[in-house]
Amino acid sequence: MRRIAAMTPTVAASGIILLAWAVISYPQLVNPFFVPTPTAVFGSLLDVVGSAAGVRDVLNTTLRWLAGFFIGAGIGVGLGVALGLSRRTFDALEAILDFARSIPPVALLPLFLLVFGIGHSSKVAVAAWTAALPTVIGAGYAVRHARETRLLLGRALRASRLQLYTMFVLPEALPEILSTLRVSLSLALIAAVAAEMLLGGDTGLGKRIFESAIIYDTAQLYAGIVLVGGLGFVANKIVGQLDRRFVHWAGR
Amino acid sequence: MNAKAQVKHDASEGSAARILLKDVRKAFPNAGRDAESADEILVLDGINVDVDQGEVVAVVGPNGCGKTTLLNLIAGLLEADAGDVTLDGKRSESVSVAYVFQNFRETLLPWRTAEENVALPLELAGARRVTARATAREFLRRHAPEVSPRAFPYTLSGGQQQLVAIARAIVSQAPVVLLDEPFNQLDSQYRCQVRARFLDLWASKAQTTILVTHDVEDAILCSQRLLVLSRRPARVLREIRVPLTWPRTDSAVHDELFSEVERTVLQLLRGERS
Repeated sequence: MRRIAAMTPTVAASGIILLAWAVISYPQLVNPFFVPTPTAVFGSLLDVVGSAAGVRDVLNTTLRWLAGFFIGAGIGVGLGVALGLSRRTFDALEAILDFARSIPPVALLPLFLLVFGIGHSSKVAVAAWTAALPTVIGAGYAVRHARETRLLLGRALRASRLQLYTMFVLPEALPEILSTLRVSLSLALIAAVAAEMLLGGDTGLGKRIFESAIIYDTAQLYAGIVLVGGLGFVANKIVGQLDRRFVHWAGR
Repeated sequence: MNAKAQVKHDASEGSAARILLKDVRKAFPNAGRDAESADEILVLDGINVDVDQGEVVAVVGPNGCGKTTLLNLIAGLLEADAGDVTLDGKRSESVSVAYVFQNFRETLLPWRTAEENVALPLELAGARRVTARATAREFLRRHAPEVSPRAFPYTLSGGQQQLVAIARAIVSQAPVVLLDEPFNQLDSQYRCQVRARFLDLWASKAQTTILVTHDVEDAILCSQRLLVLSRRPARVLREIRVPLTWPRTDSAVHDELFSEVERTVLQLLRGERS
């Protein structure tokens, strides 16, 4: 009951937007080519998820995105924690990492195309790269932010270096690492979809959205956008739940 | 590596260590930009302290006189500029110290429940996780029944958090226990209760304990010996052996001898104000 009550504002707000969309699109107040009706878009969406090709696109995008995310974030967290523990290495590499992070991943697409070709691997690689960089920096800072007083407690009790890392520094870094991962997850999706649009190949939601525009099927174009948005949304919610479960104590 | 193993071994026996400070001097760089002020602030100068194994000593002194610095030196978290700090004749870094910091709240690990926090020193000393937590739970049940062992620190009141911090120090087998204003979050009635409980505990534990407090009553009641420090740079003004039986109960505050000691201490401290 409480859950339903909590959802009410969300449902109401979504309803208003849907209503506004309907009011504009059904009487064709705006050119239906740019704003197709909700029925057209949802019909197209059902067509996509109801067809083998559509399912394959959703699965491929999801796989490329998640594979990229796990590879990139995995390397990113490992590297970031290692760098965070060694202040000197971190300081030495910080500018380089910041520079690498500042390169829009899209600018690297041609390079990835040359190196990895037009198959899955180039898209996964782009997503991994995009997920890895903010994670390295985020995890590095998270580890460095361990509170001095807690470390002093450990030092007074003569904890070994390993104990200080595993029992004090890493748990303390966890909330910040998780919020970094949440950002990386969204970025990896952006990268995967962009790669599908621009790197060739013939599957994926990015590809489908791009081609819908070329063949002037705007209903399908919007359907593709809704699907991609839905993927990101669900993933974000899942991570949010993990957050609440594992780092409920953050900031307390 | 060897030294480390030795520490773990010592810790498991619950031994006490003799704390010895010889001619200790400690100054901090002066953060003020005033050109006329000195480059450094001298906090402790020529401090000599000798605390016997298992003895409970209270340190009182004016605000900001360097009581906490003294504890940090003993804990090995600071290095003395001159003089020696030894625990059982060893450099202090090699002996495990259970320290209740003044800002104890920051030292409760928020990802650990009350019982897991109390178990921390036992786990650090090499106890198996399950055993350590069972010991901690039992300790809390007996000595701090108002704290629910499975609660996370952020759900506890300030007073309960302080109890967890004190329990964590006392449950440890560390040969040295340092308490920096350990009762400051407790209201006066609760404070007496908690004090009484820990008086009991201290009497049964062998750990060498130093209690820093600005509360003269706490200091006298909870110690066998008092060190009265001067204002900064701190010297030991006077050492007073508390002439009351030990172990002690809370009712000792009504003793004539208690009032006598209290008068002496307050007089000494008054002289250090101005």
